[in-house]
Amino acid sequence: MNRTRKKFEHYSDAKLLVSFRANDDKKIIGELYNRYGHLVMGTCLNYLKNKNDAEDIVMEIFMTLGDKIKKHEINYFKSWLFILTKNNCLMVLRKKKHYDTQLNEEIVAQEDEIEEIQIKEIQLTELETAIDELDPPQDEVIKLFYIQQMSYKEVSEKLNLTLNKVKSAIQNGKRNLKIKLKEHDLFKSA
Amino acid sequence: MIFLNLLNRIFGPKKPLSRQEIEDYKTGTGNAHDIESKSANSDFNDQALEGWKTSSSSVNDGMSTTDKKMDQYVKNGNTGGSPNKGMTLSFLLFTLTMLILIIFTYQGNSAVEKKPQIVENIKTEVENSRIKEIDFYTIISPEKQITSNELIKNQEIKKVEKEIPNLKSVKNEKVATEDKSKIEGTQTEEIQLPIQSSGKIPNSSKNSLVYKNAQEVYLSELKNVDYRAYRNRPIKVRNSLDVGIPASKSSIDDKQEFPSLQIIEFTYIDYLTSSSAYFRNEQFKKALKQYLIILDTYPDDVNANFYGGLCYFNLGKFDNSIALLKNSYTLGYGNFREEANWFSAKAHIEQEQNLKAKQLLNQIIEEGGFYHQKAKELLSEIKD
Repeated sequence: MNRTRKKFEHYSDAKLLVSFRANDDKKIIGELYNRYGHLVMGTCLNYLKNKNDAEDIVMEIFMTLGDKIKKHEINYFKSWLFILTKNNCLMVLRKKKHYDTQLNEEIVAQEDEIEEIQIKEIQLTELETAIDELDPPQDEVIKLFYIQQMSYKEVSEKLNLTLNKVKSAIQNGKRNLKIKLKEHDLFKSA
Repeated sequence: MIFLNLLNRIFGPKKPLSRQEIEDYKTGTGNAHDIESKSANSDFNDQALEGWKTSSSSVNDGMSTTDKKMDQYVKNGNTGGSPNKGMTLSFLLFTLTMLILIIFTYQGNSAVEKKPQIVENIKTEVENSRIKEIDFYTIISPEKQITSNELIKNQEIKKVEKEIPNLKSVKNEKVATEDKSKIEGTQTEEIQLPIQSSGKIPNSSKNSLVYKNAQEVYLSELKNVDYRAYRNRPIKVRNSLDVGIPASKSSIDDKQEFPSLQIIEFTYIDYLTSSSAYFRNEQFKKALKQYLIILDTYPDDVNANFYGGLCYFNLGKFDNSIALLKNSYTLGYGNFREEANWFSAKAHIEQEQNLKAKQLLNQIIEEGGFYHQKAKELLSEIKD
């Protein structure tokens, strides 16, 4: 694969963006494609259910990425790229009149990008109590998934829940857990 | 430590799912929990994973098309900054094309402009050589010269003849007696000329033509036709670099740099006056040069043709003299007709073209004009 350089593999996303703005090196776009191309493609497949449409959007996104990187101030590239991908998919769907969802122009950092520093400030002893305070089945699902490190399928079989309900319980449980930790001033507001 | 790991598992950062992880998850060969944990922590991972789960092809197969396109794009395509480069290249190309067009257009124009310039140069060279040739002419002996004095004297005699009717009538009677039969013949012809001459082609001899005399003006006491009402174009004279131009400007380059020095414009009457003055002072070469210049602008000018012809005569160039004298009168401007015929006859005699001289002399005699007596005398002197 000659679409990137070896040195770029060790660059953070932020450093790649800075480097691109400075050098205009198209191999940086290649590196970003290596990191996220398959996620963009997977997201497009999930929305559009059509490989050709998905490929078109992937190419459109990465071929215009250079302009957008220069034009926009991007704090969290991964989150920004996800929203960009979703919006592109929604626009295609809107053209096809299959989907009428409001485009999300707001770029919000996802949890995995903002919690790295905040997590160090949490009092570890309070965590177990907060998990126990979650409503069922969120408490059980969180414990099985994160403490027992079970897969979705194993959790669903153990608790007799559908996969979607397991996933939903994990997402909701995480959100409620964070709220409880914030209530105790143990989790810094984003 | 356990809690820290737990916190990291729940809220800790997760790397994006790799192609291999997604593929493993699809095939059920990887650690499902780790992959799902990443997925649970990131909507991007989650959506992508769901998307690939629904796809029948493997991740690598599914990405092969876009991989190739991206390889090509990164290798040959444009990045964000490249459109600017493209614009710059386009601009340079456009500028280059325009420059080439301008150069070709300029060269084309130059080529077109050069043609008349060459013709003009050739014309100028011919004129110069003709003018310079005059300097080498030799003036004929004073006895044979047609001087201004002679012309003026003749003019005065003519005037006197007009002013003294008796003299004129006597003279006319004398002429009438001598040429009675011929004058009658002329009158008869005038009567016979009209179309009613029973279908015969009318006699179109010169005698039957009526030459009108235009208004005259006297310059340096010499008779000239007054063309002032008709001569609006200036006489353009090429300034000779031998005269009046500083040595520092006498090169060809300077000549091109100061085109205004090359051509001087005179009004017709001024230039004719100047020419007449030269002729009056018997500076026939200078006079001839100026008359020829007038003829360049007004080829039918009877003044320049007549006096130019006389200059040629005095410079021994009888052929040229006859040619100009022949053009020195027209039906509308017959003022010099008598004189022109008289001096043409003399020029023919100088060239020993006696036959032509006799014809002209006889014509003069027939017309009974001012020179008819002299013509008779000259005719009698010509050897057969």
